[in-house]
Amino acid sequence: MEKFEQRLKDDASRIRATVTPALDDRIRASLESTEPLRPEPERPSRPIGFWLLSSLTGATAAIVAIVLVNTGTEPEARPPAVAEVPALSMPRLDVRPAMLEPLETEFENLKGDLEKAERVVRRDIDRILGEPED
Amino acid sequence: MQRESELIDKAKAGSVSAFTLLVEGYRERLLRFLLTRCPSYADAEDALQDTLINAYRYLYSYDPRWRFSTWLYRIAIRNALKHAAGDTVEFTETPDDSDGPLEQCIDEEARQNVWVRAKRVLNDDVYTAMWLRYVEDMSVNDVASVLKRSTSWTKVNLMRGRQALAAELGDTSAGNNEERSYGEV
Repeated sequence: MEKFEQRLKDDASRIRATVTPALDDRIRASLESTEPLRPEPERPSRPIGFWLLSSLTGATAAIVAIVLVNTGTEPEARPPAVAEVPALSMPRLDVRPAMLEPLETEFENLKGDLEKAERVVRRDIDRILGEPED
Repeated sequence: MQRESELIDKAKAGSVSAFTLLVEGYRERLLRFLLTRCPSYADAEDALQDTLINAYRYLYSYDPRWRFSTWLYRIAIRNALKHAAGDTVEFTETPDDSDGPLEQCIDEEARQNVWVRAKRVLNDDVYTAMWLRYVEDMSVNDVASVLKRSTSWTKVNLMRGRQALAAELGDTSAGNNEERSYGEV
């Protein structure tokens, strides 16, 4: 062993440390009045029925929650807020005559054609039936 | 002689005599160690008593993977810290300030004791590491475990402790063999 290490060991042994009978008695008396502690017993495991029941309860709660969420009344759809548009002063456009005028002209033409056709038909009937012409 | 594990089992079951037998070989070593950590001899004795009682009471928590001495010294350090504050009142003659319990337990001619001088140059943790390593012959791992330090911290501080102590003693060879010592982890 190295000299230095030996010196450390030797010098330590020169420190007088004696457990006196009085100290020995004191320690023994203390030990006699002390109970060694026991580790806390492990908690007994719960019966399997407990875990089954708690699993079922959890599953039921989850199903109820899902059903409630899905059947809940939907909130009324509110129309989107539209900003009120101020009334504009539009110029009054009279589109009716512009749209009807060609139709009325056409109608008059057709009416004239019809009257003309009626006169021709009447004259032919009269000629066939021998009526004298006017 | 009964094996240590058998004594531990009996002590766990409440046998004071088995416990007494178990710690028989540690008591004086522990007292010597506590003298280096406590402010007075009486405090060291009280710390020893507390250490043994705590060890007996909490024996169930001892992990047999570790050496029993390692566990015991850990308790001793905790109890030494309680007594280190020196809040106990001494009703004896006030000793000279320079005489701690360590000096009082060493003969006059041996006042150059390396552990007395180590007290002056090493802090508590390094001092304890040196003591456990070189007096109690603990492995570096065990010393680290007692001090709740890392192995690397223990190695480094053992080396520094040796160097500081060697410088204090004027022994230049003492600090140079640390690498060989730290190989034995």
